Amino acid sequence: MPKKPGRLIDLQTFATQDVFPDFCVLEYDGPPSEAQLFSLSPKVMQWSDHSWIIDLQPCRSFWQVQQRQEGLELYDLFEKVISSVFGGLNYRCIFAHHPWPALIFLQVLKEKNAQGVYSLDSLFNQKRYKQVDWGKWFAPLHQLSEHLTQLKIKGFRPTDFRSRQNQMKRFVERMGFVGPFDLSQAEASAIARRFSGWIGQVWQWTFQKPEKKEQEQLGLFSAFENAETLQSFPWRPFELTQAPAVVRHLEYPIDDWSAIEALLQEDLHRLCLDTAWSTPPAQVTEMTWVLTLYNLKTLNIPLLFRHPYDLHADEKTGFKTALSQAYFAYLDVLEDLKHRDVDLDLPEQIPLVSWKMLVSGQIFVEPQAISLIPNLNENPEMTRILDLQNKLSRPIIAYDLSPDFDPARAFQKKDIGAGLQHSHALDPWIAASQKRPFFYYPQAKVLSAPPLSLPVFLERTAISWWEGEDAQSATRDYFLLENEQGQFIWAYKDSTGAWYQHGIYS
Amino acid sequence: MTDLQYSKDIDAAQKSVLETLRGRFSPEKILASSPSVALKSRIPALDTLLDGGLRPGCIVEWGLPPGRNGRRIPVLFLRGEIPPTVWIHSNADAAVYAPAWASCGVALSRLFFIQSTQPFKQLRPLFLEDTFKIIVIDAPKRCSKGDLAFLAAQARLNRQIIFLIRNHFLSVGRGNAFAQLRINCAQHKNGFYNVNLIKGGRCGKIRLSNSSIEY
Repeated sequence: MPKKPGRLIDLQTFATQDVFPDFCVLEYDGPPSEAQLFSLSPKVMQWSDHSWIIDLQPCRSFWQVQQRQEGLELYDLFEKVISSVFGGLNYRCIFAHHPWPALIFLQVLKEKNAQGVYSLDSLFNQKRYKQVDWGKWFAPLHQLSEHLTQLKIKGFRPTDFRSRQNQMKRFVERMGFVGPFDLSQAEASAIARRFSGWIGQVWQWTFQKPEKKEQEQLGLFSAFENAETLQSFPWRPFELTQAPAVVRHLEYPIDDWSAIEALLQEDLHRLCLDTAWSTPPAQVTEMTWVLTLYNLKTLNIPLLFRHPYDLHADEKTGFKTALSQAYFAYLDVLEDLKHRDVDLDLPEQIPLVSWKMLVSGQIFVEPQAISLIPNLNENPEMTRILDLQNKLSRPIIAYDLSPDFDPARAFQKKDIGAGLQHSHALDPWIAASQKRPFFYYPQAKVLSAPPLSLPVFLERTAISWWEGEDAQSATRDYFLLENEQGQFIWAYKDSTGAWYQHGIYS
Repeated sequence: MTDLQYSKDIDAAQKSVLETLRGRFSPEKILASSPSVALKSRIPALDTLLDGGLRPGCIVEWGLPPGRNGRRIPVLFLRGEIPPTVWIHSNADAAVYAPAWASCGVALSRLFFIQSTQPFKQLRPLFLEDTFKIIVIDAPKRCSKGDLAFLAAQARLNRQIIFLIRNHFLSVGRGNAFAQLRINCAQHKNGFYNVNLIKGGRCGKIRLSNSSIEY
């Protein structure tokens, strides 16, 4: 029986499946190959000799599409991929929304000698996490200190950090707290004041809750940088020993895109022939184009791909995808150069004298683990849309409906290629939306004045008061109003009598 | 054996297969696969006004001021089984409310959305390829004559239908040489829709009742 997508409780692991994990902590006994480490994402950090942290954000939409294609739940898919990559059960893999809770939970698994794939979204694992003792909480701090030292973080002193830890250990022992969750009422700022800023920061990471991010909010660059999700966690990227790269020194400076494009096409062909490519086949997520300008200034231009992208296959189209991204990047560079030093009499465009193109982000996906490329015979249209997505600087959004009384939750964004299906069970919900507008405001706007004209009543509904919303304003009466500009707006009055504009009939 | 003898010898089983195939290739599916067929709204008065529908390779300019529910009219052409279609909207404050589109008969698996204030700059590859056979550009902040010329050329080359939506009524005085059809639409307070074709087709006005366009 096919499993239904959406907000379901997984009875096996009691997990809510609708929030994609941001990170994964992997512990593996044997020395893993680069292909194994980079099998889930191009962003990896070595935490200790046998453990790595993997940032899943750059490949979030890729894994969600794969999940739909394979017809598996997300963690079943991850388990399938990881067991295929590493073989056997000599690994521990914890998925979480921040590396720190996963690192703490790793101590729990080590103690139990448990192996396999775990999610901190699971209610069962959440319970185990809340029962950790201070020993497991303090254990990763030693490694954290080493990473902060290596990064030469301003204001961080390892000896001071150690003494603050000891101070905290004495405090919790004296007070009789068994584990961090006995002190969960304490704010991170209070812990920081008492024991130091970094201890306070670690405290905040411990109780971090996942945030549901919309695809648009993520944006392309934030999915790759992820600074907001890390919250000052010291990220030290683990680089591939050999990354395919080509260098070109121009015979004369050029600034015309048509000339650059022709040469770039040759370079991409040379890049495909570089012996630095590893097996199994690599999918490119990021390339870096290092430009050297006429004034010998260098610029690092990232070329980012929303979906892991087969550069070798793109050769048949003349590298259209890569060249499209390079073109957009070049336009941005020209724009920035125009605005620099406006008070100086500099030429608007500075020609290029050389460049280097290298593959700075790859994932290696075992073909046996998943069907990497959508079957062309099944859905060639969707394949073309996914391919087009890689060439655009804005995301292509698809929507799917959800049965919900709350109008704002009656639908959700979906990854393209995720396999939207219409179910006749949704027909009543679709019929209920006939009088709603095509566009709405996710944050309803307060209407300061009551409606001037007689409002047309549309429907009464209620939002999800049981999920912590204010029960007093749960009921909403929706109306069609005409505002002062003569525009038809979609507005509601809540049970307190306040009016809000929720959409516009454009 | 002559052709005539061969055709007589087609047995009943083969004939039923042919009938099944004819049934499977419904008008909507033919449109989806053969872009030379006109895109219809399935509202007889509107299709007659537009001389049978919208032909691939054309730009249709719509004058739809915000708050007048005018977009219900172009959405009539996007119902049912359509080729892959993209709606490019520029308003960063307002988001797409998908259930309302579905309630008008739009198949959400066929209609995709992109938010972009500068579609001609940010989404150029989209216009260069024929991945999307119908492209709707909803109120772009900037649209120069060069952009229109580019759109017109690409629409002809890729056999696409492009809807260019403006946030104001179109005027006969300020024309658009690149648009084959120019239409103003708005909903009256009494509920009916005024559709005024000012260029192309059979120029004129029609009035559509709310019930006539309901799915």
